[in-house]
Amino acid sequence: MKTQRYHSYNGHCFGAWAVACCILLATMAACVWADDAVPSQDAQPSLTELGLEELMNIEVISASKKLQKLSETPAVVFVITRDDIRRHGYRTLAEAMRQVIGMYVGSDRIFNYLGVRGLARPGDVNTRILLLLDGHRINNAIFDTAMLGEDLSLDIESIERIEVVKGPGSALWGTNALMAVINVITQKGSGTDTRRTVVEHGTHARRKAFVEYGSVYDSGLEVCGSFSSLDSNGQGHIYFPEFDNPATNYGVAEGIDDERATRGYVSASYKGLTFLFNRGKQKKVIPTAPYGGVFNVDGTFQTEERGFAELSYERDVLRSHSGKLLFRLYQDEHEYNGNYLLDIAAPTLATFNGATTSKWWGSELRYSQDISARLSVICGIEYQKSTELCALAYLADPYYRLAQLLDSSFELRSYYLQADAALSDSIRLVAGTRLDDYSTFGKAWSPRVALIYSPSSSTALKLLYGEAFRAPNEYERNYCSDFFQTGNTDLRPEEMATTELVWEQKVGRDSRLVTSMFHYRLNDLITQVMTPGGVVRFENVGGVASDGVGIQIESRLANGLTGYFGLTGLHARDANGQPISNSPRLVLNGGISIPLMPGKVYLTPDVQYISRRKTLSGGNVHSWAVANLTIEARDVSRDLDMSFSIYNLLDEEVFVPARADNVQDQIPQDRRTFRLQLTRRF
Amino acid sequence: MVFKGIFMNRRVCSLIVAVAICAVLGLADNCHGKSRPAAEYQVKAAYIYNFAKFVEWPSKVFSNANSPIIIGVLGDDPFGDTLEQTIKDKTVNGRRLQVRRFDKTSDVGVCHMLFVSSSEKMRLSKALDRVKDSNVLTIGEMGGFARQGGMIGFTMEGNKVGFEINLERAKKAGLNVSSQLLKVAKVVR
Repeated sequence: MKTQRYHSYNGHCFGAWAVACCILLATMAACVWADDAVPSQDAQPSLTELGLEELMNIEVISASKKLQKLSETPAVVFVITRDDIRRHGYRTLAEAMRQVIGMYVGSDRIFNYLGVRGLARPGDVNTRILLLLDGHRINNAIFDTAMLGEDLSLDIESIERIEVVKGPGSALWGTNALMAVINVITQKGSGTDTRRTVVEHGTHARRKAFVEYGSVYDSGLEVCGSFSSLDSNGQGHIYFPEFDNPATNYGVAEGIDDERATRGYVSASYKGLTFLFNRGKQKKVIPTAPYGGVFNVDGTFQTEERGFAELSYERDVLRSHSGKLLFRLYQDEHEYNGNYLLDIAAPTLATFNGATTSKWWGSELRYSQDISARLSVICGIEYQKSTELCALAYLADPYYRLAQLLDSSFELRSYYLQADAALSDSIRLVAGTRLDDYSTFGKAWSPRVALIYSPSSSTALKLLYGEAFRAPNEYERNYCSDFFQTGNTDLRPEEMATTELVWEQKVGRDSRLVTSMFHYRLNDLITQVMTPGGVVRFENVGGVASDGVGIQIESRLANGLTGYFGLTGLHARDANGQPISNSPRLVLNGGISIPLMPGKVYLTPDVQYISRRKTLSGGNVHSWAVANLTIEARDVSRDLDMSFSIYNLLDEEVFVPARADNVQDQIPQDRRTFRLQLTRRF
Repeated sequence: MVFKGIFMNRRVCSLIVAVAICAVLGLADNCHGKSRPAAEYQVKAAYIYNFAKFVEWPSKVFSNANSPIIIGVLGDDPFGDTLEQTIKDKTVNGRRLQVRRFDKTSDVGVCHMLFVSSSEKMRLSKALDRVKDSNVLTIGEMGGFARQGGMIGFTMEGNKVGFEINLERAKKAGLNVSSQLLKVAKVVR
């Protein structure tokens, strides 16, 4: 008889793990302290011994100037570096988001949902966040999905840094950039630490192997490629009280939380010409039995496959005025497959299949120039066109078509312009707008204005206003079924206006304090409503307004100590002034990375607190605080790094609100899990 | 179930493959001695050290024979600790080198070289005015620095660091620039 008690992890493994950890820590300690004689890196020839002519001939790795200019941007930028990713042991982009003030992530064991500024509607596949990979849009044409978990087609080990801008970004980027823009910058050939293999082993038999190779050649050609494969069993026993009865295994989903992902990325650049290629495929077995599916039977899963290729050319055209021209050409593909076992034709199980494919291509031309010492301009045009958009939902065996995407295609022409003017020595005005002209619904304008007052290089006061939109996607417009959903080609885009006041202050040499207040109003939310005919349809109804205030301090000290602490107060409500689901009043993020041995061993605890949130049924997810801890040892022996992480350190039982298609009210998150990671450089 | 069975083998397989890759690459480790490109700011810091070597200040700017040559950094510092590491234990004509950081123009104190960070782009004229009559060698990396009022501006030719020098301005500030420096610099007006 199957066990009734709820096991948070494979009980018998824990003892073995504990012993393994102790041995591992002891080994790490021994290696680190004993191996002092071995030089940690290839000794850099002392540049001061070189003559001027030789200095002139050295190839350099360009420092990212963006990192220094954080206070100058017409927004608040948060950067998560490769170093942070290593020290905190982030396994996915979603986990890295806990370092950004006010952001909170939850998983329903299918998808990772990101909440920003109090907006995280259960079931929304992050459509109101723009996700970019090296400036390339990841949100797809049918669902607008922004993948942040292992479904992201890029492995986190390939990420050099993540730049997060909270707030509207449509004035430069177009649709989806309502709540935040996340730009993931990948490792390039000229980066550091680009030749390595990484092997991971963790709880729930989570195993990953990753390899990356990057190089710069004498000709100036820069190449970097990575490949990884992940396999995890997921949590072996997950308990859902809603299914707690003898017919459904007393609410325990056993061994059906598996995940597999394979990903690859290649980048090459030569004299201004850059080529990017990315492909990733993920499969997730679903234990929660959504859509009235049958519970605790292996066979309900979904796969996400995403890929793109981009060729771009950047050129200095007017050196004296920093004139730069950029041309991009890209092609994208996305494929989603859902395989659901349903109980509708008992005693046999029916299989419901949903398959969607979207392919599109696009091109962009961008020009930026300093018109004078006090005025600079960026302008651009972009064109996108779909080549294939199809979706089909059917019951297998016997075949019965349930839904499909009707005759669907889109074409988009966009134009944008932004001017950056210095009104005086300390006041700057940035103003811009973008026009997106869709073949589906028409035009959307996204203006934005930013006033920046910097009395010194360490203080910046910013007043920001921006309008953003989210275009209705093909799933909302054209997906039709006789049984459950009908399309709506009259859908208008969701529109949002945000006002924000920010004070950024450099404290000492190594710290930054950011205080911000914001207010936004989101209208014409595209929401599923039940029509009189008994099918659902997307309509522009409802809205959300939110106020918030946040304060964050981050430090990166010269001795290697880094830390951050942030507190955000939020008040989000719907058009009737009622509180909305999955919206906490208070979010707290904090972390510190302590160099136990500077440059070699780091101990990094971090914690996130999220206050009580409403679920869709009107119930509550209780407030929770989750802590994580990672200990990282670099150069344990020559070219070998080790890291050991404990996620959900205190083994807290925490939940996130479930979506409308779930029977459950809330979904439990993972309990305490471990990860051991070995990195071998070559 | 058959499904789980396949999984079993996949996991073991991938782990074996991963370990094999590590082993092979570990054995093939032959990258010692292969020179990697240097970091941009390490090269710029080395240049600054050279500027100190090849520029002569009027003796009145030094209080005595042992006072150090002070390198000031104004604004957002892109060097981190690279500058300190580069000049550590080095001397130029018997003088040690020292780094001083200034957050804003009004903070700028005694120094012999001043690196004006790109963060001061909008306040450049004010910064340069501040050290106008103090025999200070101004250095910058923002576009056209040597043409907009500075003395030495770093340039990027592809991915190599070079520099331009506005000789007139340096001379006007009472500085004597060695021909060694002029040989490799681009002289601008």
